[in-house]
Amino acid sequence: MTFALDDGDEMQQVERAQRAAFERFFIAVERKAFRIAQLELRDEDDALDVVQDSMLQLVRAYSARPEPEWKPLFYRILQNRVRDLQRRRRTRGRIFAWWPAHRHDAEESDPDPANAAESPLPGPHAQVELGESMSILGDILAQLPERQRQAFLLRNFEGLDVAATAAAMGCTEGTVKTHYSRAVHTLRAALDPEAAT
Amino acid sequence: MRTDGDIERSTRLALEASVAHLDARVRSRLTQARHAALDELRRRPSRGWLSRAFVPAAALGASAVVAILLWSQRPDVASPPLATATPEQGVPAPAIAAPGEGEAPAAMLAAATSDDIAFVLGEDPFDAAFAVEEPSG
Repeated sequence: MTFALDDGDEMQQVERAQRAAFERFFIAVERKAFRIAQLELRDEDDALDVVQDSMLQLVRAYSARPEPEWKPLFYRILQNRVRDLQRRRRTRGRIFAWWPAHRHDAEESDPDPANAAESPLPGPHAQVELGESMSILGDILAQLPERQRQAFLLRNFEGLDVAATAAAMGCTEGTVKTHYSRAVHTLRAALDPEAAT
Repeated sequence: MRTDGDIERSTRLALEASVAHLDARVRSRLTQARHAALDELRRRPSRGWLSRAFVPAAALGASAVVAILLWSQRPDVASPPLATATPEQGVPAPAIAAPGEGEAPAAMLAAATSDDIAFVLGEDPFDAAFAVEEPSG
């Protein structure tokens, strides 16, 4: 009987420790995960929903996995959720494109050519350094191909190493390196046009 | 001229600055999401305890069934093997103990149980019990 009680106490301690570890993990990743999802989806509420779904799914499916695996798994789930949502949006867009009212909205939401015009400010790079150009950076990141953007955000922003990024993206490490290198090249061309020429 | 390293560093700083100053609504939603996930984690152990209790009971029940099946198919206990059966002899008799062998099944069942469970399951679920019962000296 004493054995059973000790076992129960030990289990409770393990569960408490696991909860504490998950709380630390979520606090560490939630803001960056939200920003990454927002940059992918360009919508704050959708990004928040995706982050919450990803947290729940990590706990439901992978709570028994070792802690070092949580981050790649979490971002893998997040990327899948983002992709699902983008796919649903495309499907919805195709369906509602037949409605005249919706077509009118779509025409109105076409990108303004003025946004693509050269900025009169000293230079985008200076704006980045001053922290005033999050929207510009978001626009530039949005122009990257999806996989390049993922590789760049996971490696550069979230700080995952190549192996963890590959695990999160479901591809090889070589592919991650290629995507990342191309993303940096594109960003450099966009942020520092003189250097790119 | 900026290097790739400069571009990487400046974008990282800009992104990090952007998450350092999230508005209260977003921070609140993230906190709610975190608590929902931790609540989910809190609910899961109950299923874990159930499964932990169920597995030994299920293993014991399954092992008893397997032991009975294996014992009943032993050649010295059951009827003659199928290979020796002829059409004239008909279908072999069911594998049950004959009258007069009534004292054998209990001992044989006990012997078959521990041996055959380990063989069928590939592991011995009673290892822990045996380890506890072994004399310390």
